[in-house]
Amino acid sequence: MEHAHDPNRPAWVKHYFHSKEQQLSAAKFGMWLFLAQEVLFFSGLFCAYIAFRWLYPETWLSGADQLNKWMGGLNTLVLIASSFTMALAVRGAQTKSPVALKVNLLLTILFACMFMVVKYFEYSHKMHLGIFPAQHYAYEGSTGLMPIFFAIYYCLTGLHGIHVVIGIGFLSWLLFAAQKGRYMDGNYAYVENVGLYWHLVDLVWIFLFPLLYLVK
Amino acid sequence: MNKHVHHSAGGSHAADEHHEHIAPLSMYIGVFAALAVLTVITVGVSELGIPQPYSLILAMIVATCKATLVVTFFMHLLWDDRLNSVVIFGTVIFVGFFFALTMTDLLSRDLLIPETGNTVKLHEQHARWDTCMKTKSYDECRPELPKGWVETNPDAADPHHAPEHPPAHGELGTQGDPLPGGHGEGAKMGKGTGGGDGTGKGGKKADHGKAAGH
Repeated sequence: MEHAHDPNRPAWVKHYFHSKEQQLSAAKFGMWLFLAQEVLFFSGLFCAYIAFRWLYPETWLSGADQLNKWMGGLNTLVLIASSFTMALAVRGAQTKSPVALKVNLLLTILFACMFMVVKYFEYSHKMHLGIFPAQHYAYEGSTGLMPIFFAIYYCLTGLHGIHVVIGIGFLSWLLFAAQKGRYMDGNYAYVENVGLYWHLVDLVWIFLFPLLYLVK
Repeated sequence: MNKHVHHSAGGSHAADEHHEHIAPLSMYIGVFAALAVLTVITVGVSELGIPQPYSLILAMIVATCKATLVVTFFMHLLWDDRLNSVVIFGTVIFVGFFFALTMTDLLSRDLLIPETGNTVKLHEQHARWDTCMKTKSYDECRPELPKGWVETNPDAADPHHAPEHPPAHGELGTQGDPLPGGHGEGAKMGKGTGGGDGTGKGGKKADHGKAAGH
């Protein structure tokens, strides 16, 4: 088989692709389509946010009082740092540097876990006060239409948090495979695509943070 | 198995000419620094107490700048196949349509006040109620309830037909009903309108059915 000896056609290129570049760009295109779906999926909740904020401006102002903008700001920096290390991990795969890939994947996982720890403190503090979404809201210290604000808050941050947890799973899988010596043969589409997913998680938070924590 | 012999002798595909772009480390560090600075700026600006519409616009401009940096450099869109840019910008445009069309609905909805025959803007009525609820209890704010459904429902005058349910489920306006049956505001509402007699329940059901006919 001529392919086996073709340096431009490594063994991992599927027979139905014209070239390795075509295979890699097809994988990436598929990921971008998925990300488009993710954006549309989150936009439903953002739309609810817009509608309710427009109807209840006062509720939104006092809702943000219940949120700690320093915690949210810290988490923003943590997620940005994780995006940075993720980009460096992809670069490590591009430059065929196993150390750079593994160290940056590990750092990304650590930042992601840090995000979830901060989120855990935020959530547990609120739930301790009785700030639950919608009809479960039981905090006596505030008035108004807070249950609506916190229904939106929990839906948006909760779904985002689920994405972070799923991302930690994918990143761990990458690290495990990298530990076994994978992605050094130019076939790093998995690293790139998990990276794209991870950056999208960061993107969603970039908009969530000012919309929820910095209303004033 | 010879079917997949490639046609490299033929016209070369566009994808073949695409080479992976390895950006320098300094670029990533620069983008990270810019993102961190913009985060500090957006938190700092929120401390200044800029009045409402402007602070939101400013925060969204900063967020859009940050998102652009992430998409362009971290996600490599700048060096990517243009097709991927088309996908994501197309998506953003359709998200814009989605928000805009939803708002045209909300902006164009007026509420009828049957006593006077006048109309009131949906959001103005909701905002009035919202403002009232900030300092007062549900019962005190009842006159400001959105949709005017307490008054528009002819049965509402009858204490047995206490409006525990908003008349038209499925409309956004019904969200003005502070979560019936729950704790907090909902519980207050139940107390305020339940009447405490057995007939109240039957009345509620009839009320509900009638409302659905609207």
